[in-house]
Amino acid sequence: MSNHQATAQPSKLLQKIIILAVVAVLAAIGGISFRNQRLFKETVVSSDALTETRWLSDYLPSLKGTYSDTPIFVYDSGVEGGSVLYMGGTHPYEPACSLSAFIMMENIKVEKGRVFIIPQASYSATTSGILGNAYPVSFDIKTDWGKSTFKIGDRVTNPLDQWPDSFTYIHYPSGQSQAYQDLRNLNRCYPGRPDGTLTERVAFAVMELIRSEKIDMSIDAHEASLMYPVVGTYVAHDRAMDIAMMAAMDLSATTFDMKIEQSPGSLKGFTHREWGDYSDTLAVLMETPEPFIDRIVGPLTEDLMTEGKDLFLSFAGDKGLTFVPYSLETGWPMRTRVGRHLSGAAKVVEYMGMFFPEKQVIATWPSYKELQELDCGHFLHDPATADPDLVFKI
Amino acid sequence: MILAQTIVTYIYYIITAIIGITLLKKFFKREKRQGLVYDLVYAYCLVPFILRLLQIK
Amino acid sequence: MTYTVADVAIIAAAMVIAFVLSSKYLKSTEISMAASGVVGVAFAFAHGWTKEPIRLLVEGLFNNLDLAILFICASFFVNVYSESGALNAITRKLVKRFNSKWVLMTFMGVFMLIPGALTGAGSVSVFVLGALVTAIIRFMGVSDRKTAAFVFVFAILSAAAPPINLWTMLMTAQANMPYVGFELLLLIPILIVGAFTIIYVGWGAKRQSKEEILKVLPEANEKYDGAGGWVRILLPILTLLVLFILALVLPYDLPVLGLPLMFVLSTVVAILCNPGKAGLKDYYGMFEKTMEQVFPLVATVISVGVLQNSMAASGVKGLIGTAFVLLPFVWIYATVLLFAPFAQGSMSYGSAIVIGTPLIFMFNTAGLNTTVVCAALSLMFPIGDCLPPSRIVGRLTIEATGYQGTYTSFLKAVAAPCLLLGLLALIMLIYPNTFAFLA
Repeated sequence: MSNHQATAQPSKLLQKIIILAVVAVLAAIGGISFRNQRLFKETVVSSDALTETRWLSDYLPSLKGTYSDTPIFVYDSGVEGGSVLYMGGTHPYEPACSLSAFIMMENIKVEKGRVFIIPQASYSATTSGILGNAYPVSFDIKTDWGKSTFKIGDRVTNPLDQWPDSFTYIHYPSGQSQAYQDLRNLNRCYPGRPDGTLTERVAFAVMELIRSEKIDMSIDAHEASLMYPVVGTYVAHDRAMDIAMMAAMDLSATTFDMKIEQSPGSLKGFTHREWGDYSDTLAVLMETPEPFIDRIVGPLTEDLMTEGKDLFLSFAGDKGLTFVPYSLETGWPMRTRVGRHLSGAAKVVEYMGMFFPEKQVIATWPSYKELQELDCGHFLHDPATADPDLVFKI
Repeated sequence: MILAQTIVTYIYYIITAIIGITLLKKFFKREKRQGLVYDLVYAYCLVPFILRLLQIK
Repeated sequence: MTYTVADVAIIAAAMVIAFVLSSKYLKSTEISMAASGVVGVAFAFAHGWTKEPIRLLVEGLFNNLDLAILFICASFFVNVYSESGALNAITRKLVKRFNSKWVLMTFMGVFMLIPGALTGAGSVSVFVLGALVTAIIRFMGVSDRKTAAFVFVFAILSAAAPPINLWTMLMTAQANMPYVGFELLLLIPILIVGAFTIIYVGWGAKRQSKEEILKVLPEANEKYDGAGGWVRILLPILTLLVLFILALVLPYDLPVLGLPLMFVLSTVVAILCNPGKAGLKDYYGMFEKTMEQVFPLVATVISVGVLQNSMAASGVKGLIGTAFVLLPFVWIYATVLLFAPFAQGSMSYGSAIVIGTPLIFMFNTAGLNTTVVCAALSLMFPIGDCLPPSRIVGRLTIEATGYQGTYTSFLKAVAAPCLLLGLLALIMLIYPNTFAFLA
């Protein structure tokens, strides 16, 4: 071996070790951020109307100890009436849904019947962001006492909790083929299977909750891109159509434009289809406009998530390509989106009581108009000064 | 079925480990593409396998 | 936090410059994509659009992790199968059995369609059958260049073929359309282009005589003779095929295996069927060889993930999508055959989401049949699998066929069938309602 080779080898090794060390440091910085996101918990201060806290695993024990077990908050008036399920967080990259559930929980008063709230239905999906979309991990809401931080999650179950994917997803029980990653999409997995994939089991547990608690009306909150035709819309199961139609007409006449669509029979695995087909519940899905998830928006910032203002999208809006009005001046701020969900839910619950008096639920929570006036943060309470029994970190 | 699915998932972690170890070995000693540039490429390509194996991402 | 079109356009230009310069000086497409990604994220950080630039880069490495694992497992299967001599044996048997050039080429074309059609990935067709098809097509007197074209075109056709077309599935999932009614819309153009490709590749080629071919091929192990030999040859491939089919027909009775594990199981069968003697150490040696062989591709899909994340964080992805959807319809028709394949080259299946989904909504607004539009776009995207920066299936084809010519000469060879596929798709896109009866 020549002298040159003898000295080249150790220096090359050193060079490799340095490269590995630098990459390891970068990986560690990324890794710590991923880990923090995986473990981060949102804080909610429930109203004192809370009567019980349950878990999804109460309805399917195999979920216990998994990242898909999620709390269910029960608000029982003690007065006989109907029952309502409000579910946020089916797709955690649509955070106005969870936030609307939190604001509902923090302020709810129930005079008749029972209200069940699941704020983070697809909990595992809250623990990571969508690959390839470069989402920020969270956003802040200013409150009267400081700020509260909320997660921006994924659309589907975290692969750490369900891996691998199949090359195609075949929906149970219809046998319909769907895109492979929808195997981890809760809103394609209903009615679910007790021994299926983790996501299918979550779907099954939600169905079990609806069936065993005899939920009269089930509401699934979503957000949609503005270039998606079903944005700003109720999608109702056949049996819930009359109620949703009346609610949409009422809201459009008095508060904000709300469209209505009947759940298409050919779309399988959705809440608006399978909840209604596999239980007696009146199933309604709601979509608010979320510019953040449009495919053609510019930089993906926290501001875009909270304010919904984007230049590129405004070009599409000017060309009439968005299915709700869009301007750069107003955007679609969080208070508007959360407010739409809160009033959208209140309205269908109200009309259920008119159509079916025996199923009446009388419950109140902040409305669209209040949110517009006071913003989201006003309705979030300070956990430091609240009754510790009503503070939940989830 | 849940048990079978869990076993499949563990097999994937084993596959990931084998790939990760081999990549690390190739980072130090390989026959083709031996330059500094590919040292870098090997190093960053190793990252997702390691972080998945550690159940971090 | 506001931005202007110029802000994002400057970032896009900087990313392109970074890609070109690093390609020139570092001589590695993979690191050039990553470098371009780093530049995009650096700009996003400088503008205050992200607080965690390093996280975004590391996260990008995960975008195509499953694809990387699939490529490694599939390549290992092919290497084990090939080293066992089975590939050579089956080539000899097929050459002995069939005399007609056209019959053999048609068989090869149809074979190539199956793995990709079942899995949605053209790369799987190249992995499973690329080497075998190359050997046989070459013996038909076809040039190396056209042989590579044959393998590539059938690989992308297989990816587009029903029942599993990933682009269609991604677009229908995004648009909440049911994945039904696509069979004929996809299959008819694929069969037309497939037939054209066979004629285009086979025209003028002079098949060598059976004896000449057999003389060139290495002798097969005698254990591959007779019925038992057929079992040894076919069992690994059949295992794979059966696992694909079982996943489709008995999805509720089996755990989700995923494609990589299916290849691993088939590799185990291939090892058991190997008539030669090889130990665990030999197979690990083979695995190490596979890793080096497939590494450029693994590095490509992992690096392209960094680029994808960077394009999203910096708004460049939005700029591309916006530029396209703001075009008038006539301009969309005029440019889609460039836009769609190049989007595939840079964003892989993300092309369907970034460009495909907005287009579906636009065509829907104009009252045009979205099933036909979706099918038409799904036939255009696969063409981009030979285009930079990623050119995944193109590179795989070069690897599998051992083509020694320049990449440009390969592109010229695939141009005619790809153009035909593109034109058929374009006609469907322009007149969707005319073809609606096929849905």
